[in-house]
Amino acid sequence: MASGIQGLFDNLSDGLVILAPTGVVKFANQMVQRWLNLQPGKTIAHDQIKKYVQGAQGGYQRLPAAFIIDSTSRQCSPSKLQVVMDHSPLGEGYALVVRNRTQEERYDTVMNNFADLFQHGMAEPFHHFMRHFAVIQGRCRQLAQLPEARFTDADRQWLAEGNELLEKVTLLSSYAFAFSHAPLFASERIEPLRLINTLSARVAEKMQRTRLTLKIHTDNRDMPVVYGSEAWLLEALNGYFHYLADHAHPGTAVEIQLKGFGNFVLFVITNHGCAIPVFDREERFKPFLSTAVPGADKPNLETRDLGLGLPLCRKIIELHKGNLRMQEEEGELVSFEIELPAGAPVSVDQHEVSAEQAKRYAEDLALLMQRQSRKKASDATLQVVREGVSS
Amino acid sequence: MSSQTPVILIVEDQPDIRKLIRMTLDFGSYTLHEAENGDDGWRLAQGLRPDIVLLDVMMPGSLDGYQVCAKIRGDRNLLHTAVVLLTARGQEKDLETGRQAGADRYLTKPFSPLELIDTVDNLLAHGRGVRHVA
Repeated sequence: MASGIQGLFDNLSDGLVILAPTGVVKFANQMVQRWLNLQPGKTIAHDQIKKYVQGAQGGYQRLPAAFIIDSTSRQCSPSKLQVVMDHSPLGEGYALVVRNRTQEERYDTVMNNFADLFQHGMAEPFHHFMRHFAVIQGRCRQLAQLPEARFTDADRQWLAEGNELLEKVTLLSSYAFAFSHAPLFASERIEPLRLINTLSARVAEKMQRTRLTLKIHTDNRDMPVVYGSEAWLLEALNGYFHYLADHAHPGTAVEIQLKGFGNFVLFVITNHGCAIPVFDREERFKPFLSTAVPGADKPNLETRDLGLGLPLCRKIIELHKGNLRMQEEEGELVSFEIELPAGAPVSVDQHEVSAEQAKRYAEDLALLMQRQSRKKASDATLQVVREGVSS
Repeated sequence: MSSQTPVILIVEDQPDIRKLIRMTLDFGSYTLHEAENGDDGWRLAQGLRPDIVLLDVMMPGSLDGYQVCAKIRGDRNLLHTAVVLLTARGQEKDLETGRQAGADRYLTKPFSPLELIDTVDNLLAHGRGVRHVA
């Protein structure tokens, strides 16, 4: 390979390998040489990759194939590598793109541990204490209705802080409930309008408190349905609404537009209020982000979100194979768009009949054939009888 | 229908399941047509006016099985068409959604080929144009 091209590939953070059909390394960039101890001109020594190459050569391994392997190098930092293998674009053989999965796995582990903590450690206590929280919330509301004159500044401060705390505990308990009771990878049939109506009922109180009005528009008679976890999609939207309610201008309208187009369902949520600055958008989608200034007496407007609502929202939407965009229009009009695939998600193994279905067919096939041969025999007898009668 | 052999439309996104259904129905005398999603299924149903539609429930695209079923039931030209929903789901709620959409029968995956043939034969034996609620 020309040295210029070699230099270019050596700058990639992913690994790139070109193998001959026999498994001999024709090209490997620096990164993958380090991860897998590869040497151009020699047969690849990694057992898992060797098996895939042999499988592809034997015609029983479909390409492209994606698989996870362990790193073999003693000096390399990643222990897990993701490999995507396909036919080589340069003549015969195979091309492999190798990616470091360690960082990704660490993030997943953190999130999984957090989910476990919610599921096993917090869901039940939250569930029990929610009744008490409801009582306290009721008392706060009663207090808030007392004549202004009976309140001191300190009372007002206590009331505001109490309400804020209760709100966050309620939100946490709702996440805990979803974590512990609803599988994320579900295939429930979800009607978008019904989802929005449920959301509307759920956020009604918060919207009322922040003096926001909600308007729902839909222009499709035949709105496509989506498939997934209704509880989790509701959490996703709820997470955004809590963020929105803290940042939108009080007294303004929040509009939700539902649109079905092609193979997508689009939820557009528009409000008046603080958008996320473009330069800061990726940061806001990181879990547990805190923008609080160390040592500051009091959180400012920017720190009022839990730091979980937006990241959770994004993660849930992405796990439903959808995507999420935020746009600022005409100054203060903020538009948040969630796009979800219509209908059931395309299954990864859609070319494979389930083992159960195959078993049912195998069981019934013999009976079907018996039935068929009986029918043929009966037809033949009938034919003979007919011929006998006619002669 | 002008055709003598019953026309069956298979609407299923999984190619291998379509193949299995076709293999099963090859044991009988039917004219078979296939569609791989709800939108194509609906379009074909309008054109073919089949006797039976074997309809998967969960399919990618803008129309799922229940929606195609409801459209068939709402079309005056397809009053004779029987709809059999094929689904991996078997919950009461799903059966109810199927009934509301107007399905004639409901087969839960993994379904038995014998059951499929019996269902098809049963629907045809009771006459096209007459709907029978499961």
